[in-house]
Amino acid sequence: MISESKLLQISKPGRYIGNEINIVQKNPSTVDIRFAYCFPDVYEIGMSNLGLQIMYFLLNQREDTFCERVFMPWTDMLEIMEDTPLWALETGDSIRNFSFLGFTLQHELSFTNVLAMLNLAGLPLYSKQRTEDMPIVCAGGPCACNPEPMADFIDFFYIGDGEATINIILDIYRENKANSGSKLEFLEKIANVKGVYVPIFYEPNYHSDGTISQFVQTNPVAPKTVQRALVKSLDDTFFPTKMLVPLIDTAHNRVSLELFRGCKRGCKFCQAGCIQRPIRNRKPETLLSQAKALLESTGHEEISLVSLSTSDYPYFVPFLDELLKITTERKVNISLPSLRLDAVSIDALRKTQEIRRSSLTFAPEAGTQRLRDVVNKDITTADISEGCRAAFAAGYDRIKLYFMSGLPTETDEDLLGIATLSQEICDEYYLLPREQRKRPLALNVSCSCFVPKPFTPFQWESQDTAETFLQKQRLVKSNIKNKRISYRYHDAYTAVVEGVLSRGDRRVSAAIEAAYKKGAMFDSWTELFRYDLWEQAFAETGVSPDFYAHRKRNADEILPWHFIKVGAYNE
Amino acid sequence: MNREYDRRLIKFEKVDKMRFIGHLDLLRIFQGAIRRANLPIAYSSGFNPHQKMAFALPLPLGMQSTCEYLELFFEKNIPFNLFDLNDFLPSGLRILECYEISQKTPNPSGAVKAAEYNVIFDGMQNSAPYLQEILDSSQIIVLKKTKKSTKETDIRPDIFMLKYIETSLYMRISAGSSRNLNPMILANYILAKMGLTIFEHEISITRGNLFTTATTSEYSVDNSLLLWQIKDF
Repeated sequence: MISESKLLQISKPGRYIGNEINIVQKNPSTVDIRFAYCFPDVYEIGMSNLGLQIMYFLLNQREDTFCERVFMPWTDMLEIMEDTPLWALETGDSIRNFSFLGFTLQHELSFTNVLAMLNLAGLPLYSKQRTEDMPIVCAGGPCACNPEPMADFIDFFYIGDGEATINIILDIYRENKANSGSKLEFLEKIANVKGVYVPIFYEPNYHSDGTISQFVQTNPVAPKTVQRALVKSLDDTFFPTKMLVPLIDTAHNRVSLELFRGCKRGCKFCQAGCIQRPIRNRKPETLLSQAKALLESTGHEEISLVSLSTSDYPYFVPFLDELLKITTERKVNISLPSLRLDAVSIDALRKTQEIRRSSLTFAPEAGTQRLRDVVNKDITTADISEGCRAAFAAGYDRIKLYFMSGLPTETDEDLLGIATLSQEICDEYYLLPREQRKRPLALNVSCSCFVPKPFTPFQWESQDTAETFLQKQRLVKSNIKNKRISYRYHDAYTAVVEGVLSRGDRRVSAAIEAAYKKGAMFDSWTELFRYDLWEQAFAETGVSPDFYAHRKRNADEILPWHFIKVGAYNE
Repeated sequence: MNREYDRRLIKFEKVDKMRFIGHLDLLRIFQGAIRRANLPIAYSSGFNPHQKMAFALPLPLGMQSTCEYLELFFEKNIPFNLFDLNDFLPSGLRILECYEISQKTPNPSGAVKAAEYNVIFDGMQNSAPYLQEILDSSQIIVLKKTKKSTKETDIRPDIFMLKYIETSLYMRISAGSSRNLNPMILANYILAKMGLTIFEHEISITRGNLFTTATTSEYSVDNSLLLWQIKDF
């Protein structure tokens, strides 16, 4: 690792020292597998990720494995690292000689950081350039469901629930290593494990118009389709009773309790809802015992109920009452993200006394009922006004609304609907008797740019160009006149890059490499995002946003992710 | 209103990797450890109850210390062992001593007047004549940076002892809420006098005892904060 005196030159040295509560330490010489869990963003973001916490303890439960963590160093650290190879927090050892580097791909805008971390580790970017003595590089997480844009850099992808088959893969690795098997032999042996995709065993061919003509297996062991790995019962699967507690403040420094995976709503834009099917609920008993164990082992003062739509949990009300008994006694706050704006949710907020602490966020997604119906967002204008009324009556005066612009079939009327709906909600607040209004309303309206995602019903749609997004943002902005409403929108050019990367094929790898080599990194950080670098990279590598982001696909086109089956599993 | 607590003062060290942890994070780390250890800490009343505790003097990020003080308020008449906390603290933080203090004892943070620091840098073995020069001066003007501006300040009244002691440069200087001198300012002044160019990150500073009087005596434990606190008021 870097010398300690150098740590004093940077802004948050606590990011690089490890030493956290519940950290796992092992003697590296006594294990067969050294696994570097690589999170391609800064420490504070990575440490707030539930997947990291689960996989860290799952992997370390194995006696033959030592899993350590690696995060993307922030820019001030990059400046002083010089030739220090990227190191793991637990031992401070360079990860160059580990058995595995496992990246989690939480969003497309972290892809350049993956390349940066490979480079910092002293490894070639391309799988084919890495030799036998170098770690096997794998990647999982939500973005692995379209692995193709990263396929040239990653030895194998893991698609699906992390807990499902990772142990099988590591068992095969250990056996292969004991028999002095090669990296290729290992990849052949895992090619048929559920969730595994080995890109070098496949080769795409293209039509003259650039679309895929064929996707062929180049190795006889390679299966024709890759089935997502799936945990059938969350009650019977591994869940840690400990969590790493960071020494510095992070994005979410709290216990996370995952109520269920999957979502019963069918919002057509939502990739998470589409790829996490079917719904798997944890039993309230399981959750309560996890809550107790985690609060005890972490000392956290907050517990967050995690899911895609928390009030859809079938045992929500009785479970919350039981949980409140535990949390009240321990002076722990309950945090409820991902709530729908319904009576059950407002009641839950009142019970957990979240009201006095925070603002309320909900997502109408579109400005008109017509467009909400198109995207299958199961909420009506009446629900929204009723929900807001209930929220105002319960004491909320800080509201955040999330919308998307660029949804399929959107017209100016839908965009103006964002302004109208915001104004209506504002008016609703001022219908409250004056003595109930302690402060003026603060209504935050945030509008993101719709990016069509693989495995959603909108995967064939065209994405708006940056110019169109900008025009639409201006239209909404010019129609919001109330000073109680603050309107924010996401960067249109970031959406273009996200669009190319999310529905890209294998040829997009070259653009990611080119952008990275020009200096693109931390693309999800507004202050560091450089569209000019991406624009040059796209031009130089012939990767066209028109083709990848703005083109409407035909229903019979072979999509780059067509060979992956994420659907609910039949056995 | 005036609830009675079981008041304790702990002396702890903050060394090695923990020197990279700032004051607010340190507070959270102690809060978490107390919760994990399930100690009967008292909570403030109000909307957002918080654990009742107070540090004697914040330690700047980057410095180590062998002598930090934290005052803790516990619910009365519940037996517990404060040293248990060591099992719940990260390495680099360790409780060295614990004392019960009486209800009447004033808060330690208000009592601190001076602190001693051991400063290490390349070339310190030649510092003795320069230190004497500083001690012989009636005025030492340095530029002190505040958020808004930089202003000239005389730090000579803040220097009580200054000497080179083979393993380090020893300084005893103002500390606390009324007057406080950051040892890095004095270290930089000494370096400039010696004509040395050394970056701040190459200077190691470890804090030692805290004192309740601005003493210039050779060595005195009579006025160390700890002894003062456990005196029966």
